[in-house]
Amino acid sequence: MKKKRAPRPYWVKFLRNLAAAFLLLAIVWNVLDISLTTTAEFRRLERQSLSPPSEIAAAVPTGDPFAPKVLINLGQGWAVAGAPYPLSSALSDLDIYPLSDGPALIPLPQTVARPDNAGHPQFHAAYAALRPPSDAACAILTLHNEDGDFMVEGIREGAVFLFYARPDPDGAGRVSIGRPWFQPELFTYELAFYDSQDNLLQETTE
Amino acid sequence: MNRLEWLDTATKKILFRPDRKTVRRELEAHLEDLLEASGLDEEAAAAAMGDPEVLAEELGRLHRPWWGYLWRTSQIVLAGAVVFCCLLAVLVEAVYQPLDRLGTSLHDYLTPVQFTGALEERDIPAGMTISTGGCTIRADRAVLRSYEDAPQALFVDLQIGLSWRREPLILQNAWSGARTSAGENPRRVIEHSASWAFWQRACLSVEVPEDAEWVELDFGCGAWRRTLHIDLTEEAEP
Repeated sequence: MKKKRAPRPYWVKFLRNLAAAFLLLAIVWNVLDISLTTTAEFRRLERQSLSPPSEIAAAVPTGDPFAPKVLINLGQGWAVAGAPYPLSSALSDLDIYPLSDGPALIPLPQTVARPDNAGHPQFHAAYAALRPPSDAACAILTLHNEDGDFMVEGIREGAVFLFYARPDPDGAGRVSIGRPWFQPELFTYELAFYDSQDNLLQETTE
Repeated sequence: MNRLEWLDTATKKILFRPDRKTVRRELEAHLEDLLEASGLDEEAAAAAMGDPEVLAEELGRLHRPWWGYLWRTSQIVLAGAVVFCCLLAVLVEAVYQPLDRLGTSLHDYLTPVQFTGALEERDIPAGMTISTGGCTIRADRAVLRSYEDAPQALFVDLQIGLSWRREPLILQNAWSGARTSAGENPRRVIEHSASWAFWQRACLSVEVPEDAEWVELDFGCGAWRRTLHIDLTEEAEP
């Protein structure tokens, strides 16, 4: 007759069940390629781009529930702008920009929804001016691309100035924000910084 | 006190129900044995088993409910995980698609890249390795190819050992630059990239002027920047 085995203690069964549940969820998590949070997905994009972890200079809400933030990081001699999609790394986007001395302007990789005067969300191309003069109180960006010339005032967000611009609607009321808004080689600009007395501090042209 | 009252009192301090039932069954079995062996009536046999209040305290102290509650919770968690996985597999096909993707990515990883149309090919000594960001990047093979209607280009086959996180490199960002002895920023192309498990293979090409003596490929930025130096003046051993 087979000897009856002593029942396992509860703590053994508890640990066994937890381990099995964890293993199942880890397999599914890994197979589905899901990140925990926007910041975790951004850090993964940094590692995959061989960019050392750097200080987050700004987090820009996008209005997109699947990619809720664009994160801007500053390193020693480079900047990173990323739009992480926590639910699908295949859709995440990250760009690295080498920086030389002085202020620099980088385009954010995703459009950002901003409310108009009536409160309706309107999508804009967004830009970040990095390393502005420390006493800069105001910044003006004049952007030139194939859609025209656009002058916008910057909004200070921590250590950066953020700019939002969009083309005028066409005859049918549609707005198209294409590659000329996102690729630095397809647009030029003048970037001017002013102090609180409206004195020009510095102007950069590209 | 009759048998049932005695059993209820003796087990009342065992809070976890499965334990209470098990202990009650055992006590009941002991009571049955005593009744058969001694010939006493129920009340006398119950009294002979001892003070049920004292026994209740002792049993309550021995059978703490917390591990039992945790075990129950873990059962619910495991059941939830199984249901979640089944729902995904059936409703979302999320299990089948990634499994198919695993097979496709292995095929892509193992399939060598074929280049045709070159007038002349010359193998360059390779094997140099750099390590950065938890990855190792090794130039397995380097070939200089000349074309009739296109500039000469150096093609480098890379074998990349990924970190324990198995995160393949985004080469559009990770390959941060290139230069030759004849000039900076040559035209560069990622010809192919495929990853599987802990490895990634890639083929990169860089336009190389005829008089160039070396090519350097930069990977990473900041403190993680590393450079692969490839000497074009040497001939690879056959």
